[in-house]
Amino acid sequence: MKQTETDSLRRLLVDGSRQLGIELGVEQQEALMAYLEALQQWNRAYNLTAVRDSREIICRHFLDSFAFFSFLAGRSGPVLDLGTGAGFPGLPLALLLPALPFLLVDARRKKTLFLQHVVRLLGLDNVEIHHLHLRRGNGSTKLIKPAAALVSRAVSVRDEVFPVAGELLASGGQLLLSATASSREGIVEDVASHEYLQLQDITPVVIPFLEQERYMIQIARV
Amino acid sequence: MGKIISIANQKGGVGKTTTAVNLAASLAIAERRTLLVDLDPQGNATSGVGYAGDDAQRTIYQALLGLATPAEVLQQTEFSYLDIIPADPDLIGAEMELLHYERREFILADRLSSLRERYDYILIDCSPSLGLLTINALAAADTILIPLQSEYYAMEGLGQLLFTVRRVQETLNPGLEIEGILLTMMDQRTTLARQVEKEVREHFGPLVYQAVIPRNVRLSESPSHGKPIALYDVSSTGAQAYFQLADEFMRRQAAGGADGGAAVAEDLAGSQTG
Repeated sequence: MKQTETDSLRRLLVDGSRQLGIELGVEQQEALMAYLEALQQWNRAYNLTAVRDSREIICRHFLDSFAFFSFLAGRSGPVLDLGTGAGFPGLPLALLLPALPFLLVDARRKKTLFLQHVVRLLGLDNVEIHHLHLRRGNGSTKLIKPAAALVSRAVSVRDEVFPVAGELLASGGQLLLSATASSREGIVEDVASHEYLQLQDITPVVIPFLEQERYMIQIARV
Repeated sequence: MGKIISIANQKGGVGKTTTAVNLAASLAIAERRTLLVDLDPQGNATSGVGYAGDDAQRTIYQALLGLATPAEVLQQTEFSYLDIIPADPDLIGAEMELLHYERREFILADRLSSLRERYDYILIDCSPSLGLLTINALAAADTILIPLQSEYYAMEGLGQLLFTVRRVQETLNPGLEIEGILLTMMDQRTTLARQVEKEVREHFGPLVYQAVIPRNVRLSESPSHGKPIALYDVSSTGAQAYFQLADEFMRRQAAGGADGGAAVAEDLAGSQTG
């Protein structure tokens, strides 16, 4: 990457974060840029995300992950990121919240190996990576510590997250889902059909440089 | 149809098994359906992917002698995209026993043909010899990948290997090509290693992978833990080097392979043995 390009990407990251009320320190900026570089490197052969352009990765992955920040700040963990993929939203959040333990889970080996590499590269000691396919009733959910919060922006939230949320969340824990305008309604309907889930709040969020509307849906485990 | 790649060099200790295990694992991580065939009686590729054997002792030996079908000797590994056909010391006997078979050079090719549909890549880890088993591997393969130790004697014996490749092309397998040449055990701090690299690149041009496998402690430790380097230490320079190799390997497939591999082999075999 050329220096001018790196500088302009870094500015995008810093400006976007500021719009979300996050002041990135120099070390955090460096770490996120190293993460971006590793992601681009691995993506060539291992196809970790369909988003290929660095600017888009910053907006659609990094800043999109940061939208969870204000909902997690000041909490105790662990925070579970189910279906984390290339680490979103869990890994950028773990970088911003070093005192909060994060558990990142994905069923695909290429993704968990990449994440192990990034965690090492960035020297993060508040992140555990688990290569697991969490399904209800196969015992897999017992392998994960009960979480205080479960974060996900996976499209397959309804099929994959809801069935196991009850087993994965500690009592009083919270599900935090980021949804688009179109996926919001389905999620709300599904919450109503699970008796251990209770809808708490829906907050519109603005992701800098993205046109799309987003909503942060807060659901309690009762 | 899966592509069959034999990893061969009759010189021992040049990184054949390390390359077979870790290239196979890296391709599997990239979610390419991959089969690793251990064709070395030492069985190091078998233990290198963490396969500890079973009571039935289903190995490549059984498949070669027709005591089991190829599908029966397949074993799953820790990677969902990687299977292995294991080897054990019984395989030493196969070299002699197969001498009495008809079409004895094509036995492995025949056995693997039924498995080709299931995989994107079939990698064969050859033993350090040019005996009947290695000839079987070359007769079965679409290509040969040659690991070359980055040391003074690197090219020693390469003429003989390329001569063998040419003979196989002339008689058993006209379609055999050179997949690529991989520099292994590179200590970039030494002038000698850099000199060897320069010489090999001048000689073989685009056949030589840009990826170079370094001498790496983690890489040499990983077999004793029964793990490919990606699982043992994903951030080690050894793991990174094999990821880079897999990337280059897959891009060569997409581009149609290293150009003129067979022609280069012919040239070199001619010049070094003639």
